[in-house]
Amino acid sequence: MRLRFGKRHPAEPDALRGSIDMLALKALSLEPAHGWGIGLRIQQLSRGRLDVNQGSLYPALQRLEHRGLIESDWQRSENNRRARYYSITRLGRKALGEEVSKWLRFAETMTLVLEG
Amino acid sequence: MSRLKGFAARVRSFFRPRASDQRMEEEFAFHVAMEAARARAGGMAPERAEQQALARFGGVERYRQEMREGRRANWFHDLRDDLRYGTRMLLRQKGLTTIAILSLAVGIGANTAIFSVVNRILLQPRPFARPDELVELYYGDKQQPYQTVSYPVYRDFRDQNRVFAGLAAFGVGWQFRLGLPNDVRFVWGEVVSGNYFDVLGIRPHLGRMFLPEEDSVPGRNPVVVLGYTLWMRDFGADSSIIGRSVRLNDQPMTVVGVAPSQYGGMITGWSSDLWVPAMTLPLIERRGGELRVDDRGSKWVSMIARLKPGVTLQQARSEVDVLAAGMRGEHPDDWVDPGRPERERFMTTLSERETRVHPQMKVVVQALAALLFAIVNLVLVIACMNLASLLFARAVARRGEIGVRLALGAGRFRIIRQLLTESVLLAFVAGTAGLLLATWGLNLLLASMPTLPAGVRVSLDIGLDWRVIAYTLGFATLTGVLFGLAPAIQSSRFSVSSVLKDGQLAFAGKSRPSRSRRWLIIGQVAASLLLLIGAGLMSRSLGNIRPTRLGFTNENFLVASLSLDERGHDRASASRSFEQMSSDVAAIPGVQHVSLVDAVPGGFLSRTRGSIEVEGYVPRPGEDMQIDRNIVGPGYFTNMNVPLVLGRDFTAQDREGAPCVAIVNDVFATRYLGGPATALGRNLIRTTNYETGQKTMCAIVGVVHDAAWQSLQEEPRPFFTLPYLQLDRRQMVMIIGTRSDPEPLSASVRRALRAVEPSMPVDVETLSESFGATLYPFKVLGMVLVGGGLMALLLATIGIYGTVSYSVAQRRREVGIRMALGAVQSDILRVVVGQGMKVVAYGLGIGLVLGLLLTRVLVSIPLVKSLLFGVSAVDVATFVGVTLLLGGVALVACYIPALRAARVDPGMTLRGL
Repeated sequence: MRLRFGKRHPAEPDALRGSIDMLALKALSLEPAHGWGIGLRIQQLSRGRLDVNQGSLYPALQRLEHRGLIESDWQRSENNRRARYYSITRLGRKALGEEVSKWLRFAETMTLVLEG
Repeated sequence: MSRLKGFAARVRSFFRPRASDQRMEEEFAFHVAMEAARARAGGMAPERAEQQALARFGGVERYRQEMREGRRANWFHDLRDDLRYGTRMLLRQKGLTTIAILSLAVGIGANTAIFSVVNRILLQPRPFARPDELVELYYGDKQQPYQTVSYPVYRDFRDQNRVFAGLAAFGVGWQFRLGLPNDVRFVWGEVVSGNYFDVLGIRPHLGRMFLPEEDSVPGRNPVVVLGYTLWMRDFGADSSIIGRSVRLNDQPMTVVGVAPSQYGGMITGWSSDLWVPAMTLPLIERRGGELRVDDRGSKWVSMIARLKPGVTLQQARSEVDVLAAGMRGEHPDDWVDPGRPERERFMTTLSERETRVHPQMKVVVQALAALLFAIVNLVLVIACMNLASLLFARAVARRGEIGVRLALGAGRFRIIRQLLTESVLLAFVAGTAGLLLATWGLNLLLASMPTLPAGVRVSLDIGLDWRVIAYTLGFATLTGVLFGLAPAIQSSRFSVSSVLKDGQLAFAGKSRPSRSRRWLIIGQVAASLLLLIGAGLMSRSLGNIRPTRLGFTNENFLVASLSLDERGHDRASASRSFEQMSSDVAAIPGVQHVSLVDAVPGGFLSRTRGSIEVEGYVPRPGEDMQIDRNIVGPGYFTNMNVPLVLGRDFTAQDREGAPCVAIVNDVFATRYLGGPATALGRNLIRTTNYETGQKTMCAIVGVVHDAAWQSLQEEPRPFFTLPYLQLDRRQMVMIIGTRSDPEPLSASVRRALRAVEPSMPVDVETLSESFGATLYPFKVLGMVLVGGGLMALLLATIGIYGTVSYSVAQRRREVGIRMALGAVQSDILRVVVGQGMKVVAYGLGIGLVLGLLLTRVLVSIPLVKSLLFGVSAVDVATFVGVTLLLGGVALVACYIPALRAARVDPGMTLRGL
């Protein structure tokens, strides 16, 4: 029997979980893409430093879609296969902006403490 | 907008799991394929590329799970989990669960029962076709707007209106003598116009309803429609009854149809035995039957109409008012009393919904319902307080479990939700049990009703309709939230760290029950006291309504109602018949005396009144000269042991032809004649002929002192008595005093009466039976109050016991230390009981004050006052007795756990056990 008293225990640690959402959102803010393309873009944007477990993208995309930050539909990919393409919404752009500033402030504070 | 789209996506994925799964698989497959393609492009072998792609993807199953979880509506699954968990916890705490379900079931069930009756009578539409098209017309003045009209007035409305598809007349409460093969019996029926069943849209179960031509010529068509119950009971559901003849008031009538089982007449709950057209009245009512349909002064008709399609209630109302204005011009006597503008009559038109209970009775019915609801809910509130208190204690016991959950990351809200789910679940189960209890109990109550006098039949089928079920479940949920909320919120406040430490809360624990628990006890005690006061007062009142307190020397009496047929008797032969019956019955061995009276004495329910003038007394303006009046036979006062202050009793010589006489009581003499001493010989002026206005002087020959009856009233009432032999009576009640147990003599009495009057329905019962029937509603109310009071007592006791036990358990260490420091058992007892009783005392005090206030207020309502016989609303004995009872029980409830505390071994407690 699963213990299920409180919030669901995430497969990833909390912090990283939140980050994946943010990364996916950022990736989509440049251009619509399908799931695999998003993973690729994140890799590119981070200059190879971030290599997330690719499967973890999909729960993140579902979360973002349920929050109305992105939307999706079926389209033909570059090799003519059917794929689900995601695009960011206006709400998503706004959320991204807020998340980015929050994250930067957090990083600033941590740096202050750790180096101070 | 985007949020909405997002929500839509969420909803879609929840409701179409297979489509979502398919999409997910397709996306995963695409992803892995692309990754494998890239690896192959980099020169890897296809199989290895595939493997690497899957590895880089990560645990597929895990992400599948995560996505599925993300799709689920959390609240739905959380609820399901809560329910499962809650059920397990409840099953584990058997004691608490049982108490809770029992007390709640009774409280909610009682509530449901009352609501069922209210629903049946007020909320359910009557079994007419399309009831929203029906309206009822009332005629009356400002003081009494809901009276009846005469048949000619009905005819005028019927012929002149343009808004009704049909207007029907009906009169309720007509009593007939029905001749059955071996018996003559009283039945109750409605006299209606020929179109009555058509207007109401009621189809017959057997045969047909009346035809319009059967109600056109007076006396031509003797037809009758039987009620379903009567047909089942007395005609054996014989389908060949149609066309057969039955005797109604000795008049042969042809049965044309049987009404359907769902329809019992215009009055919900009073089953009508038959229906006859108005035009048959000349045949069955010998005296004045023709007048009933032609005389504008004979007002017995109520009217109900069906609106024409497209006509609104407002339009109908205006039309009726216009017609009334026209009639006022043509027949002004019907509508105005010259010189008395306040008696101007007008019409009121009401929809079916507003007339399910007669508008005049509506206030009474609503008041009664409110009273019952208040009583029942008071018990329920006590039960809830009890449960809340128990849950508080239980929550502390569960602090370990709650603490762990909080530590694992459950939000406070989640904990509250879980605990609330448990209480609502409890309440739901109790509610369902209560629903069944209510239905069973109500039907039992109705089935065990004593037969009412003169064959009045109550038939109310109380079923479970959706309104009752919805009400019960809604009410149960509300109850569950009510008693569960506070403990749930309290519990979620436990701090994690303090809980995860050693089990006992040590000195950090509260040493007295928390404030909320104390107030719960105070509230319970106060509410219980209120209920017990009510129960006490009611019991004393009921105890007073015994025949012996009402002037009967003992209970050895038989009561027989005599009703002579007007067709077969004129005034003289009626008097002869009564005298013959009296002497025949008096001759039966075992009978001590026989008296005739117009109504059973102690008739607190319907005292007959008559208007009278007193010689030499000028009534003050507006004074009501309607005074309580008895009509009795010779020797009545002597037989009934009513003391004679002055003068004499009536004799057989006081009859028609002899000088008119009367007897009054001392209160009457004092109020109108200046005292008993001067009353003898003075005259009462009685109107002997209403048409000519002829009056007769009746000399007062006796003054009596009706002590027994007076002692039950707050202010003594005047009454006057006339001898039946000097009046034109066809109906009297015979009171037969027997030497010992009256029951065995009833057969002989019946035979004797039948011998004189073979065609008269004979209804003989003992005095206690007769009282029992009229007492029934009071008994029921009394049972509700006493039952409620006892339940409240029980619950309050459990509550006090529980709280004190809990507090004692919490304070074991403190007790141990005190004892180690030299305290004796009695000291501990004193402290614990003292603290407990202090709280109880507060409750008693508040309850007493509230009780005094409430009874004062309630008694100012006449309806409530009439429930108290010989008991003042601030009856000291009741108040004191009840307080002592509750206090005593509370004392015991405090004492027992205190005793346990005092027996604590200081050594063990100090060691932390």
